[in-house]
Amino acid sequence: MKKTKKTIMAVDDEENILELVKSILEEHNYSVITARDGDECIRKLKKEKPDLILLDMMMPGMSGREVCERIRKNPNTKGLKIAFLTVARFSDMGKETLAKMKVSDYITKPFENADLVKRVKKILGN
Amino acid sequence: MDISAMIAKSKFCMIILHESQYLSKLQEIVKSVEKTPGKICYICLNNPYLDVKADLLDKGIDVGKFFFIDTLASKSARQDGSDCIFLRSAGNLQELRLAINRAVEEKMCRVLMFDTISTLLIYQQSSSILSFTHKLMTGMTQSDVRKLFIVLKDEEVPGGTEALSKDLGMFADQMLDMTSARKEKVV
Repeated sequence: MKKTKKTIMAVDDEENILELVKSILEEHNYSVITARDGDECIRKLKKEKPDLILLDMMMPGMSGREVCERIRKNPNTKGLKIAFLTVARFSDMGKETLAKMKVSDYITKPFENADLVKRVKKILGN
Repeated sequence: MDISAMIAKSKFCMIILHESQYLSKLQEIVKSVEKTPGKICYICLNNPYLDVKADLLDKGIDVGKFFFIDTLASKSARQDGSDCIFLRSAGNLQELRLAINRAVEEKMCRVLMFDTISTLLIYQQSSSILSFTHKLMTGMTQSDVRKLFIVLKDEEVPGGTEALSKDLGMFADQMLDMTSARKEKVV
């Protein structure tokens, strides 16, 4: 039986980051969907159900935190796995908020390609 | 909570006020900030420097402890003084960052007090303010500079100040929400 590829949605307003994440993860046999801001992410989640969402924190419009809150509030998306992929350095208080929002991990930019893949694999349990 | 102790033990603290509490609580906050060691950079985003300074003098606060950045003064009111940098606009975050760097490097300010950071929502998107504050926290070489952000809860800006305060809370070491004290008083 053919193994189904796991799908990851990368949400970032920086095009070069989206391209980089997409190329790294596709190389490791993941399928990658991209969204340039929170609105596009929420819109795409009406049709797509990714195995993991990689979310930037500081984006025009909705922040990553707001996007995360909206995903958790929606019964159709509340169970999706979310990790932050961001330059933001969260405080201890911020990390507590991430835990409350059931965020699986946070990866800081700039990142090592191998580290990104390792962390994604760990979250997805493969 | 003792505000001066809160500032002393954290790099980035945030105080949330309701607009109806602003005047009374600001005085309490400034008196606490005055007790912190080192020079304080008072970033005037809500009232012009001359008004803020007159008010501090009126309350018996040692204005010598403060250096000001004024983003609001009219062109005619901008007089170059030894204790203030005047900016042309509060909305220019690049200009504001440069002024803050000067206050820290040249005037040796060790506390940055934003009165109030939420005022920037008039000029900038929440995401730009968030990025600006994050850069201030991570990009400042002087690691001993403490930042106090006052956020005004303004119901006139639907969701705006609330989203900003929640987002800033992701970076803050300490947060004091004084709006709950207001509700208790009302009850």
